Amino acid sequence: MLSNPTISKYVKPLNALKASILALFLPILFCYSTHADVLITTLNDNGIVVITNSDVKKSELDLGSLRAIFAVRKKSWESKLPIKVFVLPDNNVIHQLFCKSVLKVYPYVLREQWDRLLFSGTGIPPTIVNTEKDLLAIVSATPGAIGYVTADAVATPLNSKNPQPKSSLSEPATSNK
Amino acid sequence: MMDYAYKSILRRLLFGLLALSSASVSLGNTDDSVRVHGFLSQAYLLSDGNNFYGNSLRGSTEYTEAGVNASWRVTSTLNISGQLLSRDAGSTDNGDLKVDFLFADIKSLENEMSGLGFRLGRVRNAFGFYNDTRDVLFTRQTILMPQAVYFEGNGFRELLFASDGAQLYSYWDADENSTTFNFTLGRSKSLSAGILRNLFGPEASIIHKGELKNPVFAQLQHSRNGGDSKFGFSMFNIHLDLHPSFANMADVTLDTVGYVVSAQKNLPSWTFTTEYSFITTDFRTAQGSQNQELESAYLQAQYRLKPDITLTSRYEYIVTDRDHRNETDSEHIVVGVRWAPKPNWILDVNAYGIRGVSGIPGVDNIDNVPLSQRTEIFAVMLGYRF
Repeated sequence: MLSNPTISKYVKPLNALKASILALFLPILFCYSTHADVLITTLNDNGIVVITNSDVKKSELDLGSLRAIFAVRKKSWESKLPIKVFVLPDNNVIHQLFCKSVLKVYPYVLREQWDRLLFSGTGIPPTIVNTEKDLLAIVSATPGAIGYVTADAVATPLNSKNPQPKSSLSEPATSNK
Repeated sequence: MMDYAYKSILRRLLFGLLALSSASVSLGNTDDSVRVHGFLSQAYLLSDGNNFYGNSLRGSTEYTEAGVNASWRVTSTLNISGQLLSRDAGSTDNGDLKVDFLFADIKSLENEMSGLGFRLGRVRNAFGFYNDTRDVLFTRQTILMPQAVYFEGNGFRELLFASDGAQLYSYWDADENSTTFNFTLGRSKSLSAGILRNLFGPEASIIHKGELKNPVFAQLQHSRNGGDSKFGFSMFNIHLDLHPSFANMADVTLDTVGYVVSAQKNLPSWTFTTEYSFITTDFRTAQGSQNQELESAYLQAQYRLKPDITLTSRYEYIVTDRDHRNETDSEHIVVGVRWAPKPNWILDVNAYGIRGVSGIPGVDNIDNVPLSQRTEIFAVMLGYRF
């Protein structure tokens, strides 16, 4: 399971227990991903997964690409679709874990980069979404979207009765101007 | 009086825009193709020795910055951005509403690991780590920018600030590092009486016309391990033509070349930053020429005591004429604490100890000559952003 190409190199040689727990979770994650139009491109040992809207059709993102995307240097997918980045607030524990364990960047350094883009007009920083649940919903509804959540958050909706279908979420054209 | 009324109308307009745009942001926050943001900061300065931004010897509130910016992602390769700015800084800046930047950004090339594009319009000059966002409290570390390298008080900032012209930008990413290169070519422009007065003091009155000829700025930056370590090299070339009011005085040209070397190390709790600047200016008249070399550097340490509290200390050293080092050197010592109770609020408290007069705004001290060789400033600034 760990050789699956959709799992990035961030799955370090972990301790055996962690690895087996992750391995147990993975079928659930990918099962969900086909239903909710979210693709999981990166899963790391702290249980943070990088998710993209399913139309991105990108199964793997390396560290250089992820940093370029979250620092808003890289702005389009290979298909020319604009990249839309969604993040949780700076003080959110999941955001901090994502910065440290996936991007391997101090959260305050990322914030400085975003503020410099914003106040020099050279880029539009990621859109902040308040909760993990909202972030998942927005990424699944927005073409070209990328974000991150905990593995638990992606797994949970599987048990809910009505995972929101893409059609109903992608309707509002405002998210895709 | 008229001037005051005009300023007040413009300020109200800007604050109206601030209120309006914060409302529009909250309505459409899931749409990232158009973004409106802004900032507002107000300082109180109390000084001993010399004035710094207004009559700070008695306490001054004449240091206000407010701006609204908008970015519109027209297509995946075309972006349009603009910012309106009002900055009141004692007699050095009068709070007039200005177009800070307004440009079209065309990203011509982008692949997995690199990109290249152009910006056309009024662009901020990349110079040192902080020049392109120097007027926003949230992107600088203390209330006043380092006088070494950024020359906040003496009018030089107006020349470094922004260019009307074209900017090429590019980057190359590797697994563990990223390199950016930026080159700006500005159009020639006339300098306003206010800029000339900031630069040359009372002697500016004999200058009939000042022109800035095709300024050039270039910057190479290298960032390692996701920004753990950052290095930069910036340079600029500025040419000024000054035409005196009197027919019997010859024109003066100033040819200035500046270099900045920058380095920063980021650690979980500490950030260390240092920048060194060397600027050489040739003054030429029909009678001959003269050269002046300016050298300055600063070393800054920041410690994040708690997630919302950062302590900063900085030492700056400036020599305005290397041939007369002992007579023209200045030292600045800065200590500060920043409290950010929420991501969009900052309260800064700084203390500045200055030996020498470099960086002391001459136009704020017309009634305070000769300048004191020592200045102490206590400053508080409250900043808000949205």
